[in-house]
Amino acid sequence: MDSTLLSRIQFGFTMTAHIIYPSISIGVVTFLVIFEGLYLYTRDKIYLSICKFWTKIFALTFGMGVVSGIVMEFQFGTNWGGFSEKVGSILGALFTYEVLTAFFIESGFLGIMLFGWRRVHPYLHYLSTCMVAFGTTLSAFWVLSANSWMQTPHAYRWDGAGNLVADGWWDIIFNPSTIARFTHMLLSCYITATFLILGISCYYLFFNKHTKTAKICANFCIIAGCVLMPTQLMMGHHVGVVIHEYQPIKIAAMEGIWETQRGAPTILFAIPNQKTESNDYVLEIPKLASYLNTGDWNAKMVGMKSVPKEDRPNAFIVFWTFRLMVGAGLGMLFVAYLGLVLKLMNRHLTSKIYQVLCMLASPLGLLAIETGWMSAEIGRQPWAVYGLLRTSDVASQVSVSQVMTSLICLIIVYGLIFGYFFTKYLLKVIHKGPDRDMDIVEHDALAFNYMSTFKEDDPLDTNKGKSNKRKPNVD
Amino acid sequence: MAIDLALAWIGIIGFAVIMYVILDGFDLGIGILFPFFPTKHHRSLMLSTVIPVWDGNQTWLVFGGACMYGAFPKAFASTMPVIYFPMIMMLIALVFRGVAFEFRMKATRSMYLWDISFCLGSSLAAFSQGVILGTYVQGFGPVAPSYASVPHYQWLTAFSFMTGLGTMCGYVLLACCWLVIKTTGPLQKKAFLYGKYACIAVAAFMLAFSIWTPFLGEVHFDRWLRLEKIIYLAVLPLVTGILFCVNYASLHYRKEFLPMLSAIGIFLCGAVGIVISIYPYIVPHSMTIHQAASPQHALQFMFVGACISMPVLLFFTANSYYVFRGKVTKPVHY
Repeated sequence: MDSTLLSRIQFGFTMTAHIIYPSISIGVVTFLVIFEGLYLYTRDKIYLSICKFWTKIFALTFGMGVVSGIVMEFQFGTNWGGFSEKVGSILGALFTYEVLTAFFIESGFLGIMLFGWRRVHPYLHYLSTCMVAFGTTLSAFWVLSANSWMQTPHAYRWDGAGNLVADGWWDIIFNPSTIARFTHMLLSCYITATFLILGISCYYLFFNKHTKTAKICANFCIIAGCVLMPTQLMMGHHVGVVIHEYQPIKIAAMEGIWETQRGAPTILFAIPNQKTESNDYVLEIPKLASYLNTGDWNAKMVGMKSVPKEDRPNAFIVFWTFRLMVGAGLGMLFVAYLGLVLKLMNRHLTSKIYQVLCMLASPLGLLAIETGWMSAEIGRQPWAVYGLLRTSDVASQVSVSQVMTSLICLIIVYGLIFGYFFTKYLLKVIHKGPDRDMDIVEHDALAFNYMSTFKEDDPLDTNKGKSNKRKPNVD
Repeated sequence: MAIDLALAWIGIIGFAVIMYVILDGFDLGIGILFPFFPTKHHRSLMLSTVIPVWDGNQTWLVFGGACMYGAFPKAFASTMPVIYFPMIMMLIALVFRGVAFEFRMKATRSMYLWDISFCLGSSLAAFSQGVILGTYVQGFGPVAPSYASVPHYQWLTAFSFMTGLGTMCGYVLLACCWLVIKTTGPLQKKAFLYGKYACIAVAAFMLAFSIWTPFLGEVHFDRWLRLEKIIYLAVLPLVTGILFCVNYASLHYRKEFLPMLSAIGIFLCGAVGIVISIYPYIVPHSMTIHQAASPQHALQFMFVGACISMPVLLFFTANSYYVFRGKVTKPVHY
């Protein structure tokens, strides 16, 4: 084990954990923008109840995203010193813009969005929600721009000291794959949230709880899924075309193509074997890969063997993570359109089997994001910046013992906090569900106070005997 | 153009660090103070004063890091691996601190767990930041440190240990001043009292720091104790001393805003002192600001963004403090 490999594992691990939260946040906050808008437009309390409930889940995931995100930023310095030195003037600038344009907008309005319901005018509150949504989307843009530059570097030149410096900022920000990959990612965030919300709504429908709000959400999500999924498939295809042009070896690994050939097949199942440089147990559709990647059934596809072994990514992981992503996508497409068909038969909200199916499909969006990113990032290896900087050349030479210690600590802490406790509290919020008693909310004139749950924690609430006992200790 | 962009960026980073230390300082300080406020009600109130703003406060750290990465990549690349351990410690501590805000509100029986997490996370984060500061002021030796060969335990010295404890006390002082502004009754009374203790402790640590620094090495001695400069430099301890007196007196006579203002003044004096110790280096005594800076066009590109967005961002920050102005008398929930 060398410290570079450990650093890669550590970065991959922390990234895998981190990406869950911003993805859910971006999707859910967009959902909130729509439903708070609906509430303000119709003044129907049912939409408010939906907003209040999903804001709780948004707050929980957003908080996790913030704390796990800081870890990412500083790891560039601690574990990837060489990378920071050589590309810092480019990527660091993009990250600075991310903080300047996205993070401060988010954090400036997040407090108002979560806690300001009674402190500001409803329209100002709505503006805050929109600003948070805008901020999260922008932050995704900057991150995708930076990452796309690492995939398809553009508008750079080498300075005398072996560092990469910028040669045209516009072309760096909008490098060849930025727009395609950003759109792809944004759509996956929406899809992730759509299927989470659909799954949770179906859970309520299944157990006959909160049916009124659940029906509205489920209907909305089925329609959203039917629109988003085909769009995403087309977008994913477009990303493939772009990547094929700039990173042919990555596509070769994703498609499992070893030999350069005309009319390359799409492989449905295979075990890529790095030793024999071929695939075992192949099940394939002839010529489809060439068509999908270029639009020509007989186009030439470059194979992995066209470059030396040390320039290839891990064929097995890239091949299978890519298939898992596509499989998850097709699964969600199926669930959405099955829902549409059942809806036309007016059966979608009563079919128990469909409800269970939706519950099972709820993590598919996240699965697609995780595996998609793994195939994109592991497919970029052995390069940190594709074709320019090798990952092994840019790691900090910190001692193995230090990285090992930090990695173990991070795994324990993340497992405990993000694995156990986050899931526990998420399930707790879901189990509790939206506030049912809308009349009370109305009566208390707390229309915008979605914080009225968990009231048992409020010691000033003298109606409760529990609190009265504690009160003498307070003053 | 006559603006020295590298210097301008040092200014921006300095501003970000000071904003971070002051704003997140009182958040972290509240966590350190938790054991001294055992009642659940007090703890809920203390948390409620910062919950709506803590995320924004922490963003200044992210901003400082990103600016350093973008504007001074060489310095970022060579210092971060040297402070690997305290850095990771700080990040993990910030995880425990940050999730406690969310989890504590959702917990019922396990609330004590998140009180502990908040307290330990805040304390450890503050301590690590102090250790990093100490390591930095000490300098990284005569040879430029580099990501290519990292000395492992340079950060582990008595001096950095002292700055770690000092930082914790400083944050406690800020937290007390913040609580004085935001709370009433017995909680505020307690904040006045602990504020006075913290004020004395910070004064002691700053004194120790000032006496110790010139003897860290030849360079530091040259900067602080050469006769021809000593007269100018004597102004700084004098101002700091006055500010400490003002701080203590304002806490004693129960002024509400003066303690915070004077505490900020004390921190600014500390920052000036550190700048005197280090300038014009960015990696102390081995790499100057201009050696570490990104190419001019990169600095320019980022500078344009900073000039446009900084005023807007400061307005947003101020706005969110304005929306949540006034005394906190009931815990916030969602």
